Amino acid sequence: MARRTLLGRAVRTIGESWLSIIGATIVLFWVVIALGADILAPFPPNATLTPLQRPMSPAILAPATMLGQTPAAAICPAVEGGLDCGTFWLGTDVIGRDILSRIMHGARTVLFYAPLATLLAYAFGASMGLLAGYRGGWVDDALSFVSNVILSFPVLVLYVVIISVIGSSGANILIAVIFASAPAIMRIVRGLTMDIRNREYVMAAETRGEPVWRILFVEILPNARGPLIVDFCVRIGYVTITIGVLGFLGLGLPPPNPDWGGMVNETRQMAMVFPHMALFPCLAITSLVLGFNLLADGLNESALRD
Amino acid sequence: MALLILRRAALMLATMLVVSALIFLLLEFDVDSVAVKVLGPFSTQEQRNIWLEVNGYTDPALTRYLRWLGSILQGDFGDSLRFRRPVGEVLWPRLANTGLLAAIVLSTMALLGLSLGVLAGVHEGRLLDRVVSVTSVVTTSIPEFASAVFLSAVFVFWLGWLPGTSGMAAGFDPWQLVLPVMVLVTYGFGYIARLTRASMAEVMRSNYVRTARLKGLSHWSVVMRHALRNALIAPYTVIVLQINWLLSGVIVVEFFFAYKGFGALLLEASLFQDIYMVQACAIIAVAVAVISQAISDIGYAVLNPRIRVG
Amino acid sequence: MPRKPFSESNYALLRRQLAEGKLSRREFVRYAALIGVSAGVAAKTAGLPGRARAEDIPMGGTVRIAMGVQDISNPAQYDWPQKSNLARGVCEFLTKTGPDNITRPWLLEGWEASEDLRTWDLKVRPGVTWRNGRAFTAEDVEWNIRRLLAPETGSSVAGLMAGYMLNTDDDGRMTLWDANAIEIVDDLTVRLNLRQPQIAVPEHLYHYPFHILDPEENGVYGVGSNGTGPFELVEHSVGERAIKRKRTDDGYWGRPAFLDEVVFVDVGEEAMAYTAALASQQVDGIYEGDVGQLDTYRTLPFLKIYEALTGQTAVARVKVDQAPFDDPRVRKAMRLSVDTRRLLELGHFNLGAPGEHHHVAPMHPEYAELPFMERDVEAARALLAEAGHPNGIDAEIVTKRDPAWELQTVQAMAQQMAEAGIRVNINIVPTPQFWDNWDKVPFGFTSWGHRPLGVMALGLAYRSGVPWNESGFANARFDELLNQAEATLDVEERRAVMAEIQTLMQEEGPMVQPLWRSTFVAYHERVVGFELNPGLYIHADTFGVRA
Repeated sequence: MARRTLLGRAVRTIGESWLSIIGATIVLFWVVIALGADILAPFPPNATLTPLQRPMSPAILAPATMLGQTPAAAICPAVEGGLDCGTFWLGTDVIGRDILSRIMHGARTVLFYAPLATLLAYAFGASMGLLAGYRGGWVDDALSFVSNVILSFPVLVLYVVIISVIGSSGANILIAVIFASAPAIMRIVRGLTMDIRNREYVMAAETRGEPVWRILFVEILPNARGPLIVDFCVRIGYVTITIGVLGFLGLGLPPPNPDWGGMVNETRQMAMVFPHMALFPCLAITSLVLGFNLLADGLNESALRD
Repeated sequence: MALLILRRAALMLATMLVVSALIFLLLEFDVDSVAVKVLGPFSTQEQRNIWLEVNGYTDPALTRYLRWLGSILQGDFGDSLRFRRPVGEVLWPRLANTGLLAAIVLSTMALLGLSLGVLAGVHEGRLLDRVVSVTSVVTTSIPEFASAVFLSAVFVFWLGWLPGTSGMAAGFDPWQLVLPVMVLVTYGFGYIARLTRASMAEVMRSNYVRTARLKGLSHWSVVMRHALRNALIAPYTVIVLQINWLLSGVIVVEFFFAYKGFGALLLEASLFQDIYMVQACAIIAVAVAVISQAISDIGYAVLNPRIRVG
Repeated sequence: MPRKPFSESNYALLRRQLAEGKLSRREFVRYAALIGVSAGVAAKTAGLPGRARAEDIPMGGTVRIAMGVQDISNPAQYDWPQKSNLARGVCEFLTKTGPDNITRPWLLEGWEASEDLRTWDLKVRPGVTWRNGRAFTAEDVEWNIRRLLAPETGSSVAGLMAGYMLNTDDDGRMTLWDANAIEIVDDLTVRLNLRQPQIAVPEHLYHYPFHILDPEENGVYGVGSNGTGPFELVEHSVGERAIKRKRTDDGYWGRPAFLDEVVFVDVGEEAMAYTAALASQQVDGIYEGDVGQLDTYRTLPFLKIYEALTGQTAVARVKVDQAPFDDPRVRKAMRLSVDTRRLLELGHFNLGAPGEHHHVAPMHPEYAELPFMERDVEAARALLAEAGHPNGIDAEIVTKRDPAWELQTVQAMAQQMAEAGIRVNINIVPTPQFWDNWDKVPFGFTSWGHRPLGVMALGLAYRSGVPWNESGFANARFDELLNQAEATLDVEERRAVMAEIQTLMQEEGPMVQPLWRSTFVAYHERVVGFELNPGLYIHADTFGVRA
């Protein structure tokens, strides 16, 4: 019951601002694409088909070209010159992979890593922030100092140094994002906690003798959620960009599985002649980040109005 | 105020000390690879061991850290493994180049962000406000690498108006700064504009502005004399803090446009595992960030006497 | 043994083979040059046009070339043509392999090989002086060769010449096979006494670490270094730029350079920066073009594109002493699982030649044509099963991101291998780190430069125990055959040996070779007289620039 009202509230809050509606629509669009990539994508994302096809070109494949585990012949009718497997709507890249399919599967990569990294950073940062804000004293001093130290690194400097020492892989990117974002989250949560800890219901819980973790996570955290949800949306956008930048600098996820930054990295050299190969992933990443930012803006606007 | 500055200085010092220890630990983890870098891949393990011993790498980590810290305080960062020269010789000119780039970006960004933000804030809810708000959300959503690729496709390859790399190989050329500045400003100004707009709008709704208006002062004199000063406090701190962000932003831009700056140096040093260079770059980056943070805090306190930073 | 200007009986043999059509004209010129016939004479005999002299190359001017500027202090350990391009023309070579892939004498006036190809007299060119005025003598030559062969120098020259100049002792140390292996006969003659016959000595003398340095400078190279060449290095800062300036004195022995100055501009690791610098005319040329950017060069009307089919390649090689690669059947299965024609299309835009897994290129004169090794997924699976891997194998290939075609090829290759049950994960490491470990990883994708002869590449990369043997391949039969090939002048006999070597590589070799590639560079059209050397060597004294 409580869950339904929460969800209802969220929907209502989003509905109050046209910015949020647009933002939520964009994000939802990509979520659907990411979840349905297996069904929606016309080709397997890593299959090497016909190289350097421009957008909207017909996909006539030589019979020898394999489509992943399924031979092309099984699904595509034969025409003159090969098998007619439909259309490369957004063209293909240098080694003949369908860009539309890669963007769809890339959405899955991005929408797996960005929210996961942000959530983990939140789990870590919020716990520390709650603890620091609630306990105060030396716990607060120590945690705040540590977060200050990490925050004093320019973000990308920190990423570059960490990734170049521990190497680039999905797990390492998660670690780097958590390490770099948790302190900022901790700072916000700490501030909110200090504000909330003197409220009556917290006092009441303390009097009831509830354990500290319950006070932190059941009494304080839910009441700090407003600003945190806004921050979460903004931050997820940043993380999305960061994963893209790391991919672009060649420090991102290893191929062949598509991620948008890596797609730009692999094809940007040919952007002068075949702009579609870098343009579409750039548009994809921009639109997703825009979606998160608009969502955050809208939520923030309605929060101010309340 | 003196107490505030003193506290900030102490905090800065402590932060730098911990940061230096972190950087040292992170990078001196694998000392064997240092010997490989110096002596070349064909050196024998025996040669490497001797080199490590002669150069004090067999001492305890704490001893090495203190020695390293001591030499850094004297301005000696060691010799770069890649350039085979003292790190400082390479680093300082690169830092100056980035300083120039950052100064131009920061002033352009501040000018653009503040003026658009003020205009939008004053006209809250009107078309101009909507246009500015939407533009600034959209531009902050375009990653630098995307705008770098497409701005150079348009201005270098299609129109042929601007130079494509910014290495300044044949002496200083202001045109070579245009694209890097454009990319960084595009990504960065929106944040300042949005913040200024919010702050301005809030001030415009406040009681004393309303009072000033009721006194019959003209719209623009209210804006200029009363609202602006108060509305600029929040953006001011953000602008100073953008220095920290710029140190990240320049990495992508300098790498892409081959600008001989600090960001590209750090990236290349990391990829090359030129550890003394990485250590020096990281320390410098943090020092710049910490100092700008302190300036921002102190400036905030000066601008807004009601707040004391603890 | 009486000595003649060149070994007449060998020359007669070559002429007969030319007449009988067993030798192409180009091959004839090569082998004639090998045994000391001047290329001009040989070209006339073979009916090839002599090299046209560019009379209309203007004097003066500066050419700016985008190229990585690296640390160049130790020429003996140069591992990249980029490094050597900064010393080329300052410290010269004894010989020179031209853009036509034919090797001619340079600091040597010529050479004489004995009938048995075991004694080589290197005739030092008289009248050559160092820039500081000292005469260039046989002693300088002897010092350089001896130093490059010494194990503590760590030069890849040792690997090239190991077969005929070095012995490996029980500790695995390589030393000169005989105290008299290098002799000074007189002021202008150095004699090499070979452990076994070898035909490619002149080619080896042009391997890029073979810059002839002034012994007084003790093997160190840098700004102001003494040299015999037409240029002087006047500026060098790693990662930024380097400048070679034409010598101001008129003491150079050969034809002076046309250009006043060549500036090498480092535009960083970003490949697109090279194209951008060309497009905005910040440089006049580039060290190496990326095949993916060829279409971009074509859109720039002021550029001239130079192309050469080369012996440049990259191989996916394994360590033969690590499971599962220690089983030759697994290695062969890997080769059978790929379609190299398709890899050429996907990885290199069909510009080049498909790989045949033996590292001897069709352009190499000793190349023996074998039946093409076709893709056979079923056979690959069967071999894997036979080797005890019925469910296939998992492997991780280490590669780098630049140049782009390498990663494209690796990805396409991994796709193909997966269909035969060889599941390859791709591990990308930053390019500089890649070269720190390239010869240590169990499975890696390594690019190899152009060598004028197939035996040179094989000797550098697959001979037991040599410094660049990255796969740890140690095959006695292979070593024996390679030595034999290097000692055989008769083309047919040599092809027969090569066929055996190539088959051995296909059956048991340590690598999968996807393709041979063409290389490209682009220069501004005002640069005249430029010729693309397949090894990407920039001979700055041969071209000029119109104002």
